[in-house]
Amino acid sequence: MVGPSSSHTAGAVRIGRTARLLFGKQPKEVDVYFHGSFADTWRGHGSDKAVIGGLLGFKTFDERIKEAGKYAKEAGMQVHFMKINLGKRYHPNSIKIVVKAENEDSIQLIAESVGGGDIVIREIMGYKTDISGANVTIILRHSDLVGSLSKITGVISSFELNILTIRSKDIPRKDEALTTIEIEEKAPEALEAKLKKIKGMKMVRILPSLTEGEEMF
Amino acid sequence: MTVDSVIPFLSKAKKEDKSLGEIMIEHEVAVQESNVEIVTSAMKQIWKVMVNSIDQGIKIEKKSPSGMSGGNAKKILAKLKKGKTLSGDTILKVTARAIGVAEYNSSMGIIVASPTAGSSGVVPAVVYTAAEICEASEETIIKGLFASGLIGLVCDAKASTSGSEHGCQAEIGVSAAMAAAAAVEIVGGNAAEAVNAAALVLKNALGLACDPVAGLVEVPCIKRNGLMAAEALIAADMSLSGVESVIPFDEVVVAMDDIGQMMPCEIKETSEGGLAKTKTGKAYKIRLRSSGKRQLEKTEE
Repeated sequence: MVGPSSSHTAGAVRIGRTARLLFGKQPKEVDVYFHGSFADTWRGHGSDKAVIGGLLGFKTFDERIKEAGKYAKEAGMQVHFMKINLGKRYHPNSIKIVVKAENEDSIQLIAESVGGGDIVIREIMGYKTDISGANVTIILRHSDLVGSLSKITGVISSFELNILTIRSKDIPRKDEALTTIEIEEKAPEALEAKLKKIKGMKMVRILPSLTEGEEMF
Repeated sequence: MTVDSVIPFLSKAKKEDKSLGEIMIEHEVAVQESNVEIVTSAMKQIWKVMVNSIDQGIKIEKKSPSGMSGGNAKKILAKLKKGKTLSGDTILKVTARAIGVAEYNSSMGIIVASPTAGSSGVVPAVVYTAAEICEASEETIIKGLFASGLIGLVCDAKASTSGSEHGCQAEIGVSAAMAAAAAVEIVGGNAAEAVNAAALVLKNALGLACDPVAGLVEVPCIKRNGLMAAEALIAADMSLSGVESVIPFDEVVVAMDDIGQMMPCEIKETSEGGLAKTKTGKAYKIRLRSSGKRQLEKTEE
């Protein structure tokens, strides 16, 4: 992995990459908020370069992270870094990321870097989550209709995929729910299209295991 | 499967007359449901990254962004060239190499967390130096790295390998234990000697605080990598000469866990105690908060 700190550098890369994966394409304008110890030590740990690297889709051992700013320019991405106090409820190593976009596509997440490069995604679009990214994770935004969940799990089991965890909750002030599902195996390509066909489905994202191909580094 | 004791590995090694590294390769093949070719080639990749981190690290001349580190590996190697050193070639070489990797880590280089990024200098430096002395083949080096892997796994399962959980003993202490076991394997020592070397050096790191200045992985981390690498080599030689740790390895790890639980959080990577709280440490913190071109755009409370 890239140094100097597994929690403040490698973890930050993974948090940035999660934001990119959630957004689904190359972000163009991003606000990054450093909380707690990130706010104090980001410069020495290169946490800013690390988050930018992640937003560009780099993995934790990518040499390009060191010059992430240059690559961000090439990709036409603007990243603004700010300090924030999220309060005591959040882990001292937390980052909030807002990927800006037209209309409804904007993405917001809060994630913790818990050590050794491991992360926990605590919040997506204001909705509490508990995702480590170690497993393949399906993230769905859909209308809050009766029977949505059974349709979703029906599609997943039709691919013979084993569900590890499932969480679903209404998003405040909208007739919308956010469902996160961790599965054991790699998702087949056809899964995304099938999930998108479910009535009221607004967003389907299938995040690969964040640690895949990185275990040995 | 959690690996929380060296004992099954030691008895298997003794029964089958195999080294610790060989037993560990068999174990990895079994848990990954893979084959020897695949697991050893993955380790070869890891070794490549380690060697590169040494090559890059010992060349560093520039100071790190904080100004607290950079160029020290080079200084030691220059002194070595001039001759007439007190601690000798091997000790200074391993020290310089470990410091080099740790400095490379601080400059955002690609390293192998072993067990962590902050303690990433010890295992590569010790393995490299032991292999150089023994003119070891790549195959032997890989076995050494697998032996070190077992030590790391047990520490992680029984205690922790995180400075924020158990202080620096869990980072640099574990890295030195991993390195000592690897060194014994490379010289051709048996499994019991490898594990005993790990026990000897880990005991010497028990209780070590994690109190980094300004919260950065530099002071005291980088130089501690150098000094602990030297200790790991000494522990390997001690073990090979028949010096036995009275407390067996598994129990030393239990002691580390016990001590880790007792340590106050001020010396667990929070930078609220120890070196971070010294006059100079605090001055660095204040300076680093506001210096440099890269600034946060605003504060949202």
